[in-house]
Amino acid sequence: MANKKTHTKTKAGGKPATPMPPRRRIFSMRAIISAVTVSLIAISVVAFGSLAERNTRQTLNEEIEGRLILEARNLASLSVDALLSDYPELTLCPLVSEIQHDRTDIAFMAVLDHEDKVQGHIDLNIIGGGLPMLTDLQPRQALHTLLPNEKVLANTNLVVVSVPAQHANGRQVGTAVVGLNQSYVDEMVARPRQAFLMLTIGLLVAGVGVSLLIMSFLLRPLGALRAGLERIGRGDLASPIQLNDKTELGLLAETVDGMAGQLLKSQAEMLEKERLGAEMSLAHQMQQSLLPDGEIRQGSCVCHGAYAAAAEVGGDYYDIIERIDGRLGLVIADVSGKGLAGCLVTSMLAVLIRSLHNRYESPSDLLVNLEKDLLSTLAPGTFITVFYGILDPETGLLVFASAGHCPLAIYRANKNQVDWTYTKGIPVGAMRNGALAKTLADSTVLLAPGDVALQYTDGLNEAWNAQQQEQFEFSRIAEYLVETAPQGSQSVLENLLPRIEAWTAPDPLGDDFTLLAVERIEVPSIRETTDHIATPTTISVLRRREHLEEMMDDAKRLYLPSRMEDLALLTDWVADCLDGRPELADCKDLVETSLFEVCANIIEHGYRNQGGHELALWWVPTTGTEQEWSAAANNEDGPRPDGIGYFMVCDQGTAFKNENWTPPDLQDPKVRRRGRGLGWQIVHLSMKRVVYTPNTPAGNLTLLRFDPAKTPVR
Amino acid sequence: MADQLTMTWEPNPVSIPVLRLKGRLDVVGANQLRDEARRSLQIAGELNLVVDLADLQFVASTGLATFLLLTEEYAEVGGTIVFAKAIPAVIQVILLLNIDQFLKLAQTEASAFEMIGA
Repeated sequence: MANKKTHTKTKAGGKPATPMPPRRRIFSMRAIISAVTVSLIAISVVAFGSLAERNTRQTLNEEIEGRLILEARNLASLSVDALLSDYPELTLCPLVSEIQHDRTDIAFMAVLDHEDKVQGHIDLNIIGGGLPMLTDLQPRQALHTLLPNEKVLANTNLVVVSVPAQHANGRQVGTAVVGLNQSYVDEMVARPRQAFLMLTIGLLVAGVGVSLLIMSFLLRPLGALRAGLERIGRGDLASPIQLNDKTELGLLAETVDGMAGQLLKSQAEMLEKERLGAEMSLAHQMQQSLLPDGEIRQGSCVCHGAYAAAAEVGGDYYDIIERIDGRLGLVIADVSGKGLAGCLVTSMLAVLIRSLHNRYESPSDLLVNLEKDLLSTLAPGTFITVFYGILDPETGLLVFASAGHCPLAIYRANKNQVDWTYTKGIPVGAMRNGALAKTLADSTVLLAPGDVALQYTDGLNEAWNAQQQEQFEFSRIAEYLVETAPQGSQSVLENLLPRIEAWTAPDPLGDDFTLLAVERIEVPSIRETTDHIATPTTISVLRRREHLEEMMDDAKRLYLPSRMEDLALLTDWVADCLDGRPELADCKDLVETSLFEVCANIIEHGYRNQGGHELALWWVPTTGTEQEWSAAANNEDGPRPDGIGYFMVCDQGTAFKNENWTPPDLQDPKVRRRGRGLGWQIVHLSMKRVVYTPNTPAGNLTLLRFDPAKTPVR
Repeated sequence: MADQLTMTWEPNPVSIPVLRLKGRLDVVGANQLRDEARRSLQIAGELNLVVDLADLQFVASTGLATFLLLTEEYAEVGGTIVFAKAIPAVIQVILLLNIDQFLKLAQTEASAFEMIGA
C-alpha cells in the first residue's frame, strides 16, 4: 500500500495554519424571495392569460359564427329570385363578388341551386358544378340558435354556415353557403396574446427589480444582526447589537440584546453562586473544625457531641471545654440565622466562649457577659439560644444556665425515666436592654452513675413528620432516651439521627440539629484496678505481673491524691523509704524532687490537673542488703551495691508520649525563657534508669531505678 | 507536711528590694513569684532584686524555670536578680541541672548586694 503523505500549510513562522472550516453554501434570501415572487406572478399571469384567451376564443367563435349566419341568410334571401330565373349565374356571380369584395375574413361564399350545383361564386370556373370545399366538413354544434335546415359545418381549417334560400311559398330553391378560415380566429386571438405577453414580461422584469430593491432595503440589518450574534457566540455579551430598525428584524435584534443581557446576568449569577458555594464549603469546614472530635472522658463522666446538618452550613454549635480547675464547660447554641451569617456568628460565639469560660464560676454570669461582648456585632433581629454548663466530672455535678434554649433532658437510671429541667432565660441578643441578666439563673443537677443528660437544639424536637402533621416533640425524646440511654450516651447519639431521618421520611431533615450528651459512669478505684494485675490475660502482661509482684513483695506503698498540693506528702514518704540508709541522706532531696516531677507531670498531663484521682507509688529495694550498704557507708572506697532499688509510679490518667523527650538546650536563651523540659531532665539526671510504660492493665507505669552513685552531687 | 510558698518583702539597709521565699516552690508558687518579681520590675520600676531562699525548703522544676525566666527578663532591661542563701537541697538541684552558670547565686545577703553593686 502506498504511503499517503499529508501536508499541512504553514505560515512564515513555521506554525501550522489553522484549517479553514468547509464553506457552507448560503442561499440568498433576496434571490429566493425574488424568484418565488416572479414565479408566482408568472404562474398567475399565464393562468389568467390562458383563461382569458379561452374566453376570448369562445366569444370570437360565437361572434364569427353569428356573422357567418347573418352573411349566409343575407346571401340566401338575395339569391331566391335569381335562383328562379333561367340564368341565375348571371345575377348571383356578380352578387357574390360584390359581397365578398374586400372581405379577407371570408374564405368563400357560394350559392347553390336545388341540385347543389354552384350558381354563384367568385370563381366562375366552378359554376354549374359541385362545391369542392364541402367535401370533408362535419356538422358542428352551433353556438347560436339556427332556423330549420340551417347548418354549421367545420373541419380543422374551415367553419361553414349553410342557409337554405326559400321562396315566399316556403319552397327551398337553393342554398347559400359562407365559409370562414379557422386561421382568422387564430390570428384574432394571437394578436392580443402577444401584447399581453409583452406586457407580462415587462411587469415581471419590473416586479423582480422592485422586489430585489425592497428585499435589499428590508434585509439590510441582517449584516449587523449576524455580526452581533457572532459577538455573542464569542462570549461578548456586553456589546448590544443596537439595530435601528422598525421591522421584525429590529424586534429580533432587541430580543437578542435582551437575551444577551439575561445571559450576562445569569453568567454573573452563576459565578456568584459558584463563589458563594466555595465560601459555604469553606464555612462548613470552618464550622466542623469548631466542633470537638470524639468523646471526652474525664473522671466519672463521658461527654459526646453530634451535629446533623440539614443545609450546608447551619447556625448550630456545641463545644466541650476543659476548664483550668479541671471541670468541663459544656456549651450548645443555636443562632437564629442560618447560612454563612449564622456560621460567622457561631464562630464568634465559639471564640468568645473559649475566651470567657475560665473567668466565670457562674454560667449565668458568663452568658450575661457573652451578650455584652456580642451585642456590638450581632445584627438586629439576630439572637442565640445558648445552654452553658459547668460539669464536675468527678462528682457529676452540673451547674448550668440556659438562655432561651430547649429544656435539659436527664435520663435517671434508678427510675428509668426522664426528668426535664426548664429555665426562664431569654435568648442572648433577644432583648438588648439588660433583660437577660434578670431572667437567667444558675440551675444545678447531679448526675448519678448511669444517668445520661441530653441537651440539643430545636431541630430535634421540631423535626416534622408531614404524613402525621406532627413534630417529634419532647415526649418522643423522652421515650427514645428510656429506650437507648441504658446502653450509654454513645448509643443515644448513634441511633438518634437514623430515628429522626425515619421520622421525617420521605422528606429530608428540615433543620439541622445538634446534640450534647453527658453520661456518668462508674470508675473503679485505683486499688481495684491494680488488683487486676493478678488476673492478666496475655504473656506480656504475665511477665509484667511477675515483675511487679516480685517488686511489690517488700514494697512500701503510697497512695497520693492527684492534686499538686498533696505532693508534699512525698517528703515524709521518701524519708521513710530511705530510713536506715544514712549514706543516702544527701540523695533524699533529689529523690523527692524526681518523684515530685514524675507525679506533677502525671497530674498535669495525665489527669489534666483534676483532683479525685490517685497515684500509687512503690519503693522496692531490690539489690543490696542493709549490711552491704552499712559496709559501703563505712568504707567509701569499697564496692557499692548496684543500685538500691526501684521507685514505681502507677496512674490511670491519659497516657502521654515522652519517647521523643530530649534534654533542653539551656545555652539557648529562648529555651531558658520557656523553661520546659527541666522536670524530666531532673528525673533522668538523678535516676539510673527511667522507663515509662503506658496503658498496661494496671495503668501507666513509670519505673525509676535509683542509683546514688550516679547522682552528681557537687 | 511542708508549708506552701509564702513571700514577704524584707526591709534592708540598702535600697534594693529583698523578697523572702518560704515553703515549697512548685507550680502555684512559681506563678506567684513570677508575678511578684514582675510587679517589682515593671510597676515599681526596681531594676534589681534579691530573692532570699533561706527558708525555701523545696524547689520544683517550674520554680527553677521561673528563676531562669526572671534572670532573662531582668537582664533584658539592664537589671539584676540575685538568688541568695539557698539551702543545700535547692543548691543540689540547681547544680544537677547545671544552671548555676545562668543564675546569680549568693551565699549571703551582703554578697548579693555586692553582686548588684550597691
